[in-house]
Amino acid sequence: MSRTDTEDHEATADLRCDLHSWLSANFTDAIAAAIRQPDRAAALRAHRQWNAALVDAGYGAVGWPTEYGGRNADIFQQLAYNEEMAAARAPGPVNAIGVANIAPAIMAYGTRDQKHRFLRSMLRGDELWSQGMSEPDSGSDLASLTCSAVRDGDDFVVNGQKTWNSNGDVADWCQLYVRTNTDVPKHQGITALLIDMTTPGVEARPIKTMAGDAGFSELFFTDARFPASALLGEVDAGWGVATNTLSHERAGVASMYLSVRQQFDDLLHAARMPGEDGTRAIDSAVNRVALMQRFEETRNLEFLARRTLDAALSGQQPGAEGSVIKLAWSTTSQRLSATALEVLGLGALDGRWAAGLLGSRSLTIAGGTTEIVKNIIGERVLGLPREPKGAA
Amino acid sequence: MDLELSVDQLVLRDNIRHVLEGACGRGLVRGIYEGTGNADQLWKQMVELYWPALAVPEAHGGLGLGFVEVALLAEELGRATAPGPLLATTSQLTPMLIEAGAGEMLSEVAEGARTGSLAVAEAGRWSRVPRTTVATRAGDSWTLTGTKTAVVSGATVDCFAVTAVDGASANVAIFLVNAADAQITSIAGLEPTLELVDVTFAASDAVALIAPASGSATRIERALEQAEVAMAFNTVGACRRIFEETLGYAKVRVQYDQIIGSFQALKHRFANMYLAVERATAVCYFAAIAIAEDDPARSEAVHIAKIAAGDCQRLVAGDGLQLHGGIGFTWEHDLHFLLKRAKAGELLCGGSGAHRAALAEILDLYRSHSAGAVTHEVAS
Repeated sequence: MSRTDTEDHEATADLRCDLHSWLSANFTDAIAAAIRQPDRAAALRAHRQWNAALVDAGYGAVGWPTEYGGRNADIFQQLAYNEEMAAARAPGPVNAIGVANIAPAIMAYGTRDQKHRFLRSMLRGDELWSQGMSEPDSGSDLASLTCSAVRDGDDFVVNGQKTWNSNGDVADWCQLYVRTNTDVPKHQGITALLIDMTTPGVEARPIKTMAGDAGFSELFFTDARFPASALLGEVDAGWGVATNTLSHERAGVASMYLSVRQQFDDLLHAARMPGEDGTRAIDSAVNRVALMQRFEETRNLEFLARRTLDAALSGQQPGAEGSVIKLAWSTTSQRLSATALEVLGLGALDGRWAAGLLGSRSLTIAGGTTEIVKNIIGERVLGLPREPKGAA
Repeated sequence: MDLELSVDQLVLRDNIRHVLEGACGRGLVRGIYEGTGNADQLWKQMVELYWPALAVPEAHGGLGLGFVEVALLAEELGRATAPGPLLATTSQLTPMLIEAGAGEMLSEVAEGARTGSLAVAEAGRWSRVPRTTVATRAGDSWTLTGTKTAVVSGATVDCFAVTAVDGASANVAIFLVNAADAQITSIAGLEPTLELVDVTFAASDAVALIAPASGSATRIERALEQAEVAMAFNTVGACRRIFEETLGYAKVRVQYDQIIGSFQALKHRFANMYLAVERATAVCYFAAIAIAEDDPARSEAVHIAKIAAGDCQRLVAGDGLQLHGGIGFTWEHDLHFLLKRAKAGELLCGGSGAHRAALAEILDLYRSHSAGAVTHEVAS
């Protein structure tokens, strides 16, 4: 429906067609099931294996430069790629945050050696990456972080704690933001490092979420010593590394709305299945109204995202409008998960719908809480003044 | 399908906005509200600018533009809370005349010599299928009997395009009735610039535009869809202006020695309003393009657009007034012109509830469900 559907250029059409047939042949039900299995270690193994095969076939991050395993794909091709991957329900990269956030930082600020050392292996999933940003006392106010690095000769000696590190307990490498200067305003004393997680003095402890799943960790640093080559960008310039390299992969919004649409379709299908007594969830007028509202929200999200995409396709630079999509996507997805339990009833207290409800609660917290996202929209999109600092 | 407007469309929209800012200022609107002014001069200017000719085919002296341009015009008319017959004539009468192939009347519309509205709603409800207005044939001529409600600009237009059911065949049809042949009662209460009226036909002389036949309902529906989406645009245009006015106010109003827009409690409401307006705009553009390109998703898109505009209105009119505080509740402040246009626009051409019910039917949400339990006001 978007113009990429009807007006694919030849290269885009080729990519779409090739990827479609490659996925049909290679993304088997067995692989999909292996990646979804409850045993996390086994699921991760299956995901890494699949990820490597995908990258070797040239379908890793298609927008990346070819020298790091990409295809130099333009945004039309990236969109086609995202649509086909979502349609096949293929999982995202095993190094999700790495590919979306850490890699762009390395491409923009890294040395030649860092680019060649890290990017391709990150994409393939040969090495797993984590990111160390949040701290127990620095959540929304990220720039207040206190985990410190002190120079000792050329080395950085790190002490402190990080939290909410995806895959922190299994990661080989971590992009770490540390305090290197306390004599300047908080944004000007932060430095980005790329650290080896096997270094002495680094400890990861898994966090179990309320959804019951593992996958996050806390990281503890005790006199952990990293060489000068760990530095990404300049000393004290880490805030720029963090903010200038947040995901610019705008074609990714396609996978957002397509996956929400798939969730809705699954829910509608479930609501039409007769129970043991022959009645169906959809037979209730109240349930139909709820489903209807979720359908509208799902479609509204799609058109909102596609309008942003069309702006990108016509060459406009990315701005803070991504915050609007994040707000719409997180709240839409969350309401859809809540409706699933309301509509499907007691039978949904177990299994995917219950897990979906719990998991969806993180969407309005992770990657910027809804409240911070609304501040960003108010201040950067609408030009409202910042809230005054609390009076002393 | 590209959801971004073309450069030509953007220029057209900006030109319309610029003209209306000069020719349809708040003074003019207030004059209508207070019974001290009229829209005659504004209409003259619109005719000179060929706005009534916008979507009339070139063969009949029009500019031959498409539905997207009509929708943009409707959006700007909502933004300006413009009085006068242009909204109804371009988004209600013209699509029906085009569907009917009424070339001579289209030429008159293009010249500004004919204005008109749809007379569709009955018994307080917009329904694409007429139930109580009946057409009777006598030789080559027809007469209509029945009452239509909430006809836009009904106090000033020359004619009505009326949905009616043929008493003999039970097929639906569209008839043209001259305003002089109908009894008109003003119901302008909430929103006087829309000049809403009830129209009663008592064996009124009528001309068949789309005669009763087995396929007539589909042709009529295609024109009604355009009126519905144009009304959604009109509503969203008013909503965006409410949002902008409120945002502007929050950037200058000072309380507790602070610009009130700096407070998070307000900032977050602005973020919600912005999302609602952007989302409704995106969905409305999609519907306009789906109509212009006759996309298969057309019917679904029409309902979603009207629902989104209604929902947007509910949030933005409510918060817009709330965040203005006491000043927004005064007659003296101009905000209420926009609030009333937005609110009327939600109900005109089918409210959210009716469009939801129709959408549920398209989506087959009722599949295998016991028939007859639910009625659908909008769906045919």
